[in-house]
Amino acid sequence: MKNNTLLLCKALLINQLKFNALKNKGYSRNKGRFYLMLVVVVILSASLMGYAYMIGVSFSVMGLSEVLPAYGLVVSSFLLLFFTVLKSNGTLFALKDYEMVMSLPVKTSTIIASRFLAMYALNLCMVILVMLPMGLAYIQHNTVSALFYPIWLVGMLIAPLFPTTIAAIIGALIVWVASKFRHTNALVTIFSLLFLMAFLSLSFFVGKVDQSSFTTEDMTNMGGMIGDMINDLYPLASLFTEAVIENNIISLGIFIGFSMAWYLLFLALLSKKYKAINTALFTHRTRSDYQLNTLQEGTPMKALYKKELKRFFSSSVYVLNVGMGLIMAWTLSIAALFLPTEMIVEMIPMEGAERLIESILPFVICALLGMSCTACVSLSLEGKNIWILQSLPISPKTIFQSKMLVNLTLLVPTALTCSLLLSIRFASSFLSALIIIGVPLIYCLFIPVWGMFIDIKLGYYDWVSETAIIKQSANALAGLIGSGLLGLLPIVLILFVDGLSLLVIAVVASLVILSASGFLYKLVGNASL
Amino acid sequence: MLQIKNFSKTYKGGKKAVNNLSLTVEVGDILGFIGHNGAGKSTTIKSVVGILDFEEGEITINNISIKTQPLACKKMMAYIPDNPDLYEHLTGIQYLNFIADIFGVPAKERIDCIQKYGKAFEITAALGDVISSYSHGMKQKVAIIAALVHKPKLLILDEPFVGLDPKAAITLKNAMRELCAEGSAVFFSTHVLEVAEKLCNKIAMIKSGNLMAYGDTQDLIKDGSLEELFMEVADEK
Repeated sequence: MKNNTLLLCKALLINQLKFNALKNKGYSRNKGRFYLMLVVVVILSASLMGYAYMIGVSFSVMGLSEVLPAYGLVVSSFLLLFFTVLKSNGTLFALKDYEMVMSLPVKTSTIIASRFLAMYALNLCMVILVMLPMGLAYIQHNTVSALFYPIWLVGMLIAPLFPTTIAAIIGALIVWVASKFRHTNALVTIFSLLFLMAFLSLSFFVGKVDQSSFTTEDMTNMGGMIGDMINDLYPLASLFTEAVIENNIISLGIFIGFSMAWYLLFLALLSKKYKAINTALFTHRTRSDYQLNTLQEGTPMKALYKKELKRFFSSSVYVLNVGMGLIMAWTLSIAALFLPTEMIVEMIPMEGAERLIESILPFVICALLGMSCTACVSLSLEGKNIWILQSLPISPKTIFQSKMLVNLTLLVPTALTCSLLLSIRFASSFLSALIIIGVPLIYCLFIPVWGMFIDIKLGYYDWVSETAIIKQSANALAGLIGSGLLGLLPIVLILFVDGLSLLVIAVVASLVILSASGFLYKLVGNASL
Repeated sequence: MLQIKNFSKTYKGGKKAVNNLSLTVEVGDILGFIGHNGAGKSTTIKSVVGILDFEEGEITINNISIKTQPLACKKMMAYIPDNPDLYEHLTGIQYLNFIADIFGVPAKERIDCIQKYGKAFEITAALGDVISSYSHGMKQKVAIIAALVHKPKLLILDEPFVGLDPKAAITLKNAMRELCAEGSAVFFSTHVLEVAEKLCNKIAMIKSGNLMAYGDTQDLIKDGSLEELFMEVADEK
C-alpha cells in the first residue's frame, strides 16, 4: 500500500503548483503561465543564491568562516519563519478541500503530515537556495574533510523542520484564538500583523547588533562575538556549527533528534486540535434575525467598488501579504521622521550618502508601494464567482476600473502621508518637496494599471486556495516585480551614475511612468473578461 | 424573446459541444432544456447569457445580438447557474443590494421584491448573515431572489431545482409562471422530467450537441410521457 501522507502531499502539490498544465498538448494559456512562473522563480532563485554566495565569500575573506554554518542556518530559518506564518492559514488550515480530505479513511495526523510535508518541500527549496551557495563559499576558502559534505547535506534537509513547525504553531495559535471570536478573519489579520511587526522589529534589532559588530576593529574576536550572538539566539545553530567545524557526529545527532522530536510532538498535539480549529473556522456565527427596513441605492461603479473593498478586508491572507508594502512604507516614513540622520546614512553603504537620501527616498517609497498591488490578483480572486460579473450588464472596463480604484484607495493615502512625512524631514527646497510628494503619487497611477494588465493576461479562476493566487501565482509575482522594479531602477541610477540630479531623474521617471500607465490603461480598457 | 439560430460551439482541441442548434422562446414560454450529462446544455446556456464566446450561429434576445450588444441583452436577462457560487464575504442582503444597484432597481421596488420573495422562500431572517454561512439551498434561494429583483424579461436557469427543499421548489415554479404571465419568458435546463412535463409549455431535447426533439410539450409526448420520450431519444443512434 502506498504511503497516504505522500499520496495526499503529491495531490496537494500537483494542484497548487499546476503541474498538469504541462500535460496539455501544444501551447495553452496554462502552460504559458507555468513557464512564465518558472522564469520568474529561476530569476528570483538565482538572485538569492548569488546574494548568499557573496555573503559566504565575504565572511570567508574576513576570516569569519566558522560563523558561516550558523549564519546560513539562522538566515534561512528566519526567512522560513517569516514566510510560513502567513501561509499556514490556507495551507494547513481552512483549505477548500478540507471536507473532502477529512472524509477519506486516513488519520488526522496523516492529513496534517501531508500538508506539513508540502510546506516543508517548498521551504526546503528556500533553505537550499541560501545554504548551498554558502556551503560552496565555505569549501572554496577552507580545507574540509569528506564528512563535511554529508553533514552539510543533512543540515540542509533538517533545517526547515524546526522553523516550519514554529511557524505552523504560531499560525495555528493565531487561527485558534481568533476562531473563538465572532470576527475571526479580522482577528487573524490583527494578530498576524502584530506578529509581523514584532518579527520585523526583532530582525531590525538583530541587524543593528550585527552591523555594529562589523565595525569593531578587533577582527580576531569578531567571529567569536557573532558566533556567540547567533548561538544565543538559535541554539540549534551551535549544534550544527559543532557538527560542521569539528565533524562532531554527536552534535549532528542531537540536531537531527531534536528537530525530529519537535516535529513529532507538534504533529501529535495538533492532531488533537486540528478538527476543532477547522470546524471553528468553517462554522459561522449567525444571528438569523434580519428585518428588511431600508436599502440604499447606488451606482454600478459604487456597488462594484464596495464589493471589492469588502473582498480585500475580508481575507487576512490578502491584507497581510498585499498590504505588506504599505505597512513597510509607513514604518519607514515614521522611522525616518524620528531617527537621527547618522543612523539613516549608515544604512546606505555609499560615499556622500547624506546627500543621496533626499533623492533616493521617494523611489524607496515607490518600490514599497509597488509591493501593494491588489489589482494583479483581484480578478483571479473572483474564482468561481466570475460568472456573476460575466453575466451582469456591466462592461469589463467598469469592472477593471472598480478594481483599480480599490488599489488606488489603498495606495494614495499611504503615498501622500508617507511622502509628506519624508518631505518634512528631508526636503531641502520647495522643488525637492514637490518631487518627494509628486513622484510616489504619479507612481500610484502605474501600480493598479500594471497589476490589472498582468491579471488580465495571466490570471486564472480555478484555484483551491486563495493563498496560491496571492503568494505563489505568476500574476502576483509579475505584478510585484514589474511595479517594484520601476521603483528600484531610479535608485540604482542615483547610486551608481554620478552627476544625475534629482530633478532630471524625477522628471524622466515621471514621464516614463505616466506614459506606461496611459498605454497600459488603454490596453486594459479594450480587454475582455 | 430568445432566438438561437444555427448555433455551434467547438472547444479547443476540436470537441464540438453543440452542433447547429436552433430554437425560439417566445414571451410567456417556459422552455425546458433536457439532455444527459455533457449533452451541451450548460454550454448553450452560458453562450446565451454571454459567458462563453461562440463563432458559429446567432443568439438574439428581443432581436438584439448577444455577440454585438452583450450589455443590452444582459440588462433584459437574469441567470442562475447550476452551482450558486455567490460572494461569500457579503451578507445575503448586501449581495441582493449589489445586484439591484447593478441593474439600477429603485429602492422601493427592490425592497418590495426582496420582501415578497424573502418571505416566500423563508430566508428573510438569514439575509443579515454572511453567505459563507449559508447551505447550498439557501445560496440557491438568494441567487433566485437576485435574479428576480430586476424583473427580467428572460430568466435563464441551469438545473434550478437541485438543492431546493420541496416548498422552495414549488415557490420557484410559481415565480416562473408568474413571471411568464407578466410578459417574460423562462428557459431552463433540468434532469427532473416530471417537473418539466408539468411546468413547461415547450421542450427541447439535446443529445451529444444535437437537437433531437423540440416543440410544444403536448405535441411531443402525445399520449406518452416525457420520460418515455427521453428514453427514446437516448436510445436513438
